[in-house]
Amino acid sequence: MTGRIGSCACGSIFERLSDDGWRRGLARGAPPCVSASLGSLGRGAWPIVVLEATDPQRMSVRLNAAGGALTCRRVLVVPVVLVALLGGDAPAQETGDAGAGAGSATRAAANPAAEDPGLEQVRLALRTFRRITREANLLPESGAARPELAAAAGSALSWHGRVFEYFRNDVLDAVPHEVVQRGGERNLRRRNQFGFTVNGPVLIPGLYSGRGKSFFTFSYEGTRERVGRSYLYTVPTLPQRTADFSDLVNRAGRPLTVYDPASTRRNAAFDRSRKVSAANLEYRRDPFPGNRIPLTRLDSVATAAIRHYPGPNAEVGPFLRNNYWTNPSERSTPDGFILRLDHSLGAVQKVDVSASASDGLSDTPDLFPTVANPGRPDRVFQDRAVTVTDTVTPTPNLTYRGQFRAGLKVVDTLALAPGGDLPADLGLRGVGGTVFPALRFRGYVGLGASSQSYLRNAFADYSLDNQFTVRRGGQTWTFVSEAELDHRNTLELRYPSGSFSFDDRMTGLPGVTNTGDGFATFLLGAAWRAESTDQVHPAYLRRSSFENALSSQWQVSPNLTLSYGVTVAASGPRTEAHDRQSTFDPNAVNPAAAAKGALVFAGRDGRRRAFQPYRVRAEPRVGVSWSPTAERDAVVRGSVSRYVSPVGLRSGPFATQGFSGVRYPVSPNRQLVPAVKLDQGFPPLPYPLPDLRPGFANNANVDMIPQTGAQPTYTYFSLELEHKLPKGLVLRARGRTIRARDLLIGGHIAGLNNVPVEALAHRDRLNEEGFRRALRPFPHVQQIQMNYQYPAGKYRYDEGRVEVQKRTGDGLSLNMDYRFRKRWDDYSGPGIQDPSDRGTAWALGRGLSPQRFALTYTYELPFGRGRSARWGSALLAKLVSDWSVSGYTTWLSGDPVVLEPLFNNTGGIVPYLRVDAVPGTDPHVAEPGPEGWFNPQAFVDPPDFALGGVPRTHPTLRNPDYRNHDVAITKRVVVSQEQSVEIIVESFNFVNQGNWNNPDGEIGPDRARNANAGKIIGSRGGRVLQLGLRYNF
Amino acid sequence: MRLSIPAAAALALAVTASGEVLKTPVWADAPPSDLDVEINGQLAAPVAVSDSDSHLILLLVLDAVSRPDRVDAAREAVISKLTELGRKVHAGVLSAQDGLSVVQPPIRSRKRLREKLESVDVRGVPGLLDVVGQVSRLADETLGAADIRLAVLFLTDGQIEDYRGDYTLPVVNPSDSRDLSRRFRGQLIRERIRSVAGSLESSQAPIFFLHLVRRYDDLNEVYQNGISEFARMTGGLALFARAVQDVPVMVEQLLDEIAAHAVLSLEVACDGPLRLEVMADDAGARHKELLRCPRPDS
Repeated sequence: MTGRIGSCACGSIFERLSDDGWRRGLARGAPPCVSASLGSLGRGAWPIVVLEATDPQRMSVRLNAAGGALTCRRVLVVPVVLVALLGGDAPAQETGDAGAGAGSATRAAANPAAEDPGLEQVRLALRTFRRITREANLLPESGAARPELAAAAGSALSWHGRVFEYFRNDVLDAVPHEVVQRGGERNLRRRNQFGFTVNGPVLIPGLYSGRGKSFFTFSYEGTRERVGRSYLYTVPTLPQRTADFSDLVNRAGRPLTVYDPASTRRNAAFDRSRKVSAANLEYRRDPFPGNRIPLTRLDSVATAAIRHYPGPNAEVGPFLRNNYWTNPSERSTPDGFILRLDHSLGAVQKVDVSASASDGLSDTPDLFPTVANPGRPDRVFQDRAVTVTDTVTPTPNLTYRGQFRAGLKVVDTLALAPGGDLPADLGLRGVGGTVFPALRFRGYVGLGASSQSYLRNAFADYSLDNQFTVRRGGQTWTFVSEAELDHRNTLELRYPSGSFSFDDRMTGLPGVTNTGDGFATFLLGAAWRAESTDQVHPAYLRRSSFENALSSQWQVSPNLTLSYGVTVAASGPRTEAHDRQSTFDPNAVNPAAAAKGALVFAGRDGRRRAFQPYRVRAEPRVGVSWSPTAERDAVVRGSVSRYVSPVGLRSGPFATQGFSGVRYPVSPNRQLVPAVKLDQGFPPLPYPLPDLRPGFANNANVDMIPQTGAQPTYTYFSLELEHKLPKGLVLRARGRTIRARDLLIGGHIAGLNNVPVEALAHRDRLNEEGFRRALRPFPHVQQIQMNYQYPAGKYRYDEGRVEVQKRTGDGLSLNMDYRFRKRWDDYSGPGIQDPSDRGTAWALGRGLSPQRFALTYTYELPFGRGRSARWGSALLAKLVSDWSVSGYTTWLSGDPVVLEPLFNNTGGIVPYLRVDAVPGTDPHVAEPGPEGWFNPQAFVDPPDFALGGVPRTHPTLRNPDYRNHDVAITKRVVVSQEQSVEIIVESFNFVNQGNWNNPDGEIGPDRARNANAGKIIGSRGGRVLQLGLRYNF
Repeated sequence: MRLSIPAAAALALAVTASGEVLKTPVWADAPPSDLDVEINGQLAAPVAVSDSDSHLILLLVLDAVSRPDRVDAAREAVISKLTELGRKVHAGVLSAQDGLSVVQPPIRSRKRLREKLESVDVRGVPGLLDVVGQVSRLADETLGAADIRLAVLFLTDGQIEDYRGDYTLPVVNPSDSRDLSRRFRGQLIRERIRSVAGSLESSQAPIFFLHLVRRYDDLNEVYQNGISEFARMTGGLALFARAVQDVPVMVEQLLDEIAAHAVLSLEVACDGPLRLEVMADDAGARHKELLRCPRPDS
């Protein structure tokens, strides 16, 4: 092998001595042209240049030295390596000297190769580095704008993914506590969840190879499941089903009398100066002889309906209550996939496409094995989503990301509704639906599905986001602009076949609680409340919104960083595609009522298509991050921000009255006259729909869209300390407080048309609709419904949180998280006692556990391959290797106890009554347990026509706590470097903990105390085992 | 035992057995003559050593996809610290996002290094999990070719959700309300980490990680734990920046650690994992606990 030395001139020397360019140059037969700056060469130095060439015969070495300072002195050619010893003091170019601080060292080394033998070792190492990277195609192509993309082809050649199956069967489970307590021996559970995921470069044989630029991920998952559910209810006894109420007792176990409403008459001896009581009745009624209703008096529809009402099958008690236990199964069969594609368009642009679809059927449990099942009807689900994201990085300092997303969610129960005409079968007239009517009796589980069970909703949303990230002057600015369009095509039939409620008043003594019976009233067909839905069109609801956000951060000093930003957004009002929208306008004239307050209709009478204004919101935020110590072992973070929640677009026919209708007959006196008699059926609508008269909703509940610009507004304050502790521990202590106002509440909490509570002084006269309506702000309508869109609620939330993390890096990680928190509000819970004074409702929030502790851990067992030195045989090493244990432990302290009166005798003007405290009686018990969680004697129902004094949620009583322990054990079996099988055993509630149900919070008056008050019936939960097998490739 | 020893001594240790020569990093205060080396309980002597004053090849792997501010801070800190460390550090730049590529083979020129570091854009899909094994093999072979020191420093800001590999178990069927297969959502990430860790079992060059954005959600905790495990397995160290001001400090800490290490060349019999003990009379020594020969097929 020989080499040839060309002329030498300063300014360039060999660069990338053995790269692809060199090889390619040789292959093309052209002289290779590789050059590099020699940098500061000192005279007298002898750099060595090592060349690796495939064809040294054709190799020429040319040294160009500007200024002629270089002299070629000698070339040594060895097999495959050409060594040129040149004048100058630069070592090989890779270790060239251009950096600050390196020059003096260079000057000091007149002959580094001779004085620093380590350099020779470096060169040897670099030759190896270059060879490997060349062979792996990792080196940049000369002049390539994005060499890393070109090289990516060599690093992502194959497809990877997994195939899995998860399996559950009740043979593996503990029988749930609630089943054991009812004498059950098993709870059906059959579940198979299976699927696969595959990802890698897009390859279409013969057509397209996406290696290095086009990638995909496809996931499929399906589930086939049947699972048992357990329910405990109260149904009428067998004698009661035959109108024999001789066994009827109240909650205290004392006999109850059923009175004949047909015998109602005024009491001539009634003393108006005294309260109504059993001794001073305004109306007299005769009890049914023997507490038995004559069969000839029974309502024909009720008699037909009762055939679908199951009889008792349990005796949990007390007093004939909790006598129906059922353990039906439900079925679920979803299938779905997610497909993701990403494609690089040149060096600066990338496009991502994601599409997903899921279809499911939820065959819900039948609480009754009849057409009168009060459970939720079966549902069909569909989910679809497409997202397209375009990311462009034209310069290192500018990134643009645009994203379009479209999503669709469909829930349909109408498709699976039973056939036939069930109301007609019962003899019920005047209702439009064909499903079983909703029949509700106070104190018993009802018949027929609950409200809004029958629906067909299709929710679509479209959004377009643009995000620009710009770096300038050491700061990074992010600007986000988003436009969103929501579509809600919704058909929700609250009660297509009508809803009928029966209480004890009609078969009790008028004005006297603890008399009569709701089921007895049902048998007589006398509903105090009835409602039927007439919706002929779906509502096609629309809303648009726009949002712009600008944020940045500034490093004020090496220890202090400030971040700040602001979001400005506008939410459009709700519109309906066909302008089938209406609202109650308090100022509109209602000719039929000769008063203000009437329905108005969108797009008519000069009104706009929407009733709400565009709502603009501004959300500033500022945060600080400070490292107080030089060691950076602590960080303090603080932030203040404001968030304004846009008013969402809800489903259902809310505020489409006139185009849809709710027939709502009102009883003139719910104690005396039914609103509807079942066998007489529902009165028809006076006019066919659409009925756009301003008085369409007179005497009924009306829907009102609040025409205010107020929106829920949250202000956050947070302070956090993160501190490194010894032994790999990290402590995070955080305090957070939130103040919120204008939170969305329902019409029943807003109470805009409520009779003032001061009217309780009128006592029994409030039972007369004619009297009561005169006291309402809008007498000609009943409740004003808001669909939880009235911005008037407020809350305060304070939280202290301590988190300790341990991360060892050798397979153990754990996280302990403890929170102490409190939330006060004026709206949570079923309702508030006096909506006109929500200040009196300010209490602890319902449903929030004040304390929460969570422990999360993962431990890779320290055995086997890669973890311990020797395990004898390879088989033994395989057996003990790659085991891991993970777990979650959660403890939640009990949330505040909610106490409710057993009876509510307020003439219907205080629907959410509170209880009274008994002075001097401690509500706590020494050892809370299922037989007495709290002392019910400390409370009592308030007197008739009076408010209760105990807060909405009790300030010190708490429901039972909740504990759960889940653990997963995984064994990984290595098949090859790229393949493994995981055997997974997951146990949920693995200690088979039974968590107590909440105590009965209904109290009762002194004469009829709820014997169950303060007691807990049963516990729930049980260990569930899931086995999994996953093959990863 | 010290984790960071800026003035670590040169070590020259050798174990003789019929087999391969393995290299392993060691940090110690004590001079080589004061150190005892044992492999599987047997006293051993190294065949060669590259002490903390010898030349160092540093492979900087940028895996930067989302936080340009922190990446900039890291780049600046790296250049500054390398300039301080002097001419015996030869640094190269690799890019991990969207697959591994060499942006600049190791050089001493800080100016050029700066240019190349800044040429790597902050964009794309994170690649740490996909390339760390590849980088380890590249580093090991390079290290094995000469008596030098070599270390890898990953600068990464990726989060697990950004990977193509679909490690986050996204919900496929939203209507499946009793799906408990996602209760332990970190399983897929852990599996991937175990797989990658398997490829690092026989690594010889230490790999260091600076994650520029520490995240606190469950999935990223698992991911970050995995990064710590990679560092431990290779004898390196992983740090996680909680704020941008952490970045320069952590860069300095890691580069000090890298600069302070020595490399022992040990001739061993490759018949399984080897438990390594390096002991000093008065001072501790940090080192890997287990050594393993590369598999023939790797």
